[in-house]
Amino acid sequence: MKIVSMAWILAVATWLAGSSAHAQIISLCEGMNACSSNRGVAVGIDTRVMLSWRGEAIVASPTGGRLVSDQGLFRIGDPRKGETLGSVKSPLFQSIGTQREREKEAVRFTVNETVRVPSEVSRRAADAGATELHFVRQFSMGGDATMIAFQTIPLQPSVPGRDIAAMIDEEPRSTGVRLERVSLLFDRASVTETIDVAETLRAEARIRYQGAGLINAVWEVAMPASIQGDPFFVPIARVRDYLGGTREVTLESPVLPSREAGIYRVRLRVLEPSLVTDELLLSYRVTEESVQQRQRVPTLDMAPPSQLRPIDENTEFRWQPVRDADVYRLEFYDQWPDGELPEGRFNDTMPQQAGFALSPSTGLMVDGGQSSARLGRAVVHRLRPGGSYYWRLVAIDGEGRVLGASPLQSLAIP
Amino acid sequence: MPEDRTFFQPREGLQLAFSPGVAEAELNHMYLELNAVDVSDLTRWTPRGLQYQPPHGLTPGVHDLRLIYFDENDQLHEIGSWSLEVRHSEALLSVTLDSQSEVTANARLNERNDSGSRGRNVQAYSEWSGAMETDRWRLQSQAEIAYANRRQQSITGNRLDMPSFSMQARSDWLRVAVGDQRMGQSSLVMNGYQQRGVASDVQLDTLNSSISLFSMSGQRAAGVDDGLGLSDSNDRINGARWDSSWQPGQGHAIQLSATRVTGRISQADAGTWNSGSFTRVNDGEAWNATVDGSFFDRALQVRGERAASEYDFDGHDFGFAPISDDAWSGSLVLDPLPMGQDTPINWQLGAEARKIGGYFRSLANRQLSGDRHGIEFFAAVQRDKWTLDADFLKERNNLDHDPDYARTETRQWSMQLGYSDYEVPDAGSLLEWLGQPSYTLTLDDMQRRDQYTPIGYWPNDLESRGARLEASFARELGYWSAGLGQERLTDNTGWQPDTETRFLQWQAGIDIGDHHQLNLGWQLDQTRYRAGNERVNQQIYTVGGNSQLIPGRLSVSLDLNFSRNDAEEDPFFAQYQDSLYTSGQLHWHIREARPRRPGLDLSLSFSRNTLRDRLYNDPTQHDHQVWLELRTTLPTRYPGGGS
Repeated sequence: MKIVSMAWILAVATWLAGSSAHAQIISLCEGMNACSSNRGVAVGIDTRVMLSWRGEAIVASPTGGRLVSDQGLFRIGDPRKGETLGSVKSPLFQSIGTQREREKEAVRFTVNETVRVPSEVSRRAADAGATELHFVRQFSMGGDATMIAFQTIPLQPSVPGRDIAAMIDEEPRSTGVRLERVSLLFDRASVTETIDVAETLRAEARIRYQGAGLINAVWEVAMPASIQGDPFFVPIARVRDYLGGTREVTLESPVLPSREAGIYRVRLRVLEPSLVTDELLLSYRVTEESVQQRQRVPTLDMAPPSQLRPIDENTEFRWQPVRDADVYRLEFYDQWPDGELPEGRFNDTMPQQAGFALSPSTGLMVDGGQSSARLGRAVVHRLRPGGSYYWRLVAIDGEGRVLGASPLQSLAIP
Repeated sequence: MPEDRTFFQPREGLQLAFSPGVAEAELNHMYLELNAVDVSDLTRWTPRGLQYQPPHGLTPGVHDLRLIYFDENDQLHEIGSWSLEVRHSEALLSVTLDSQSEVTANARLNERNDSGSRGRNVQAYSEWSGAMETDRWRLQSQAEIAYANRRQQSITGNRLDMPSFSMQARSDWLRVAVGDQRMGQSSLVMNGYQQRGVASDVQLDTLNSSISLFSMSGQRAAGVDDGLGLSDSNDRINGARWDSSWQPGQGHAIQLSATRVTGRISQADAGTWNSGSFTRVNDGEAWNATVDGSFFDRALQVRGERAASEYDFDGHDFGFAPISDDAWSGSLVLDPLPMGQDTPINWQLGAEARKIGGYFRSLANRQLSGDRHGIEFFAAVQRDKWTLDADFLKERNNLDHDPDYARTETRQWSMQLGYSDYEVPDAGSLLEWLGQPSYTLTLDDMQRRDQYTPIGYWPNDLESRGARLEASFARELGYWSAGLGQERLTDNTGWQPDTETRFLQWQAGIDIGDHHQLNLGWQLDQTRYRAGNERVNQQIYTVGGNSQLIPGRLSVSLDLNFSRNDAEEDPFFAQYQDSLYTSGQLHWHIREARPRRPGLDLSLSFSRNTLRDRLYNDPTQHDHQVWLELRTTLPTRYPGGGS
């Protein structure tokens, strides 16, 4: 890092007539005696900077003079009057030359020191909009005459999110993880949701962090029963994971409660590393029947068909009657009608889809007063021998609303 | 069927007239099919003709009607077939409107430790969805409007708000959308979250391409006062995207795209906590170019992305100037037998390399962390009931070798082995009693070591290892599952304590008859400080049940949640607390809601929370609330169902 220094004397020494002092600083950090530092400082990083103070003094005493500075100050803005952000209490001492043959001949001096710029100081300077930091010292040589000089240390923007290790003199902590950003959202990438009763919804916390170690948090939910007053948050799952991989992690909540209609709140309370915030809170609403979710309908109970091998026009399908059903439709599909085939067995416990983009290959519609139907010749005629089909029953009311559907089941035609 | 008809309306009846001479007996051998579905049972047959009234509105579009006849030899004869166009009117192909409105009134009957909140609350909520289609345009809209007399009761924090809305007009070549939507695909410069704003896409014949322009709010949640979310120039992101795709040969496809975003951000998102956040305005712009290739019927997929950004990290007109940086990623996936092909074994291999500069930051993807360069390999194998997923990642940081910072390398791998049985267990076997099983075993390992450590700092030298086994069993009347796992952290520098976490959990859901359900759960998390053997135990017990006392009319539910945080021995933060939450609800479904007929529900709810600090023996704190809620719901639907 190239040296950056300024030599500008802020306070001119005052020479008091009749002073008993035999030494005087006549130049500090100016002209040929430019002061220097070896580097700039990255914001938010504890950095040690080597500084060289250079100047000239007249030493009248045969025993030489003693240059003294009690403390240094970190300032931003005007080096003389600007805001002080911190200080360095370590004093500087230096003995300077002996009397020269010709009295009042100036003696050059250089004082080196290593200054630690605390991370807090550079961070506060950057927060105030400063791009450089002044380190100011007041020097004297025994008498009342003092001279103030400063050096300017450039600030460099720190690399956002770059891992800052723990300092050797730092006290051990329960975890080495430091959180940078925590975003809470639902698994549909939204921050509010309306879902149906018993519909599956999860929350996600997308976390950006530094370091490595333990994160300790708890997912909590406030239910509609308490939401009208002061909400009671109830823990539904604890999170105790070790982070340290890729500085990004997504924590997923368990399936959020949705049994009762009403408003729910969900939050992630982070205990370690301690995080004091009430912003990590989302709300969702559970309704008996949302417009968006009308595509999901209850599952109907079907009895097994009377005979499947061989399947013929007399094969009978039977079901539990559905209240308010106006018609029933038995549907046959020659391919899985709902995108990719689910893994494993078909899900017969979740609500069923009211309709599919794909139309049935064939089917049968019967009156809502019936609880069974024979296939009939028209349907059997359309079922291809050797073909594989998926079938289900759908109940429809007088308004055309799908009241329920049985799970899709497979059927092979011999 | 009249030949001069150009279209039919969705609920219009269909009539066919027979030529004279059809015998009554012949009608028993005739069938009417609509879109290949036999609707004969719902058809009125007479020797002069037939009449079919669709029980629900037919969907817009072309429908096939066929009249067939089976002779004595079971031979099929087609008497006639017709194609019908169904539409709403001459000008409109379809119009639909769907809504659900709800008003809820709550009255507090009792509350202990009354917080001073009002004893009566009113909330209203209305959700609308509509669509209108002509031969050239399709308009689609959706909106949610919410009102709460107290801000604390709302889901967005405002008394009157639109938690979401969107409106879209689309033709063959143009799409314009306003409101909440996903503005772009997930990439290095876009996070793919839902945002509020305006977007427009134009399809061009040139190079089979499209151009999108969008402007969106910098916030993920915008209230009703924010309108489209674009009024604040300090919180607006503008962008453009160009896409082009072509097929160089059978089974191959290549897509090129480029995105540029620019704008300003002034606040943290809703639901987001940010360390060191200030009320500053950050300027930024970013662009990317991607190429996506899919070859040999998706057996080989290749993706490359290059991105650059300029971001003013410390705020607009403040301190430092904006800083530029770049990022790239490349991935390759080999899937020789893509999904859908019936093969005994499916496998997939892939690798992704990415480098993200330390100062790379896009306004539209602020969650992405920078200063990383790594490569990841992954594999997946599936055979019948077995699945295996594995991945390995190696990553390093401090890409510019800044001597003030450590240079750290992270290596991690994980493997998951799964077994899911889809066959019904044999009668008399153990599994018949336990249920249809699924098992998952997960192993993971992470190591993080410094290649360089600046003087005065602890080196990074840490590793964690874990194993987890979960099993779930499905039975006809419910399910149950159990899981256990252990993970161990070792910090070789000794700066942070070496710990070990264990978890054990069990849960079950049981259907008792058709109208009663019981849920049980238990979760234990233990952390052990390995040096001093101090243990922290955290447990959650849950019991929940609901019962339909009068099916469809009267139901009751009860929930208990007991949580214990026994961290008395924690050397860093000693705690010992118990909490017990109880809630119950009696729900009377007075009248079912139907289109144009409001439903009515009345419920009485009770909740009680007890907190006890066992470490300091503070007085146990009890709170409870009792509320009565009346809710009316009105669904509307035009024109009704469709098929």
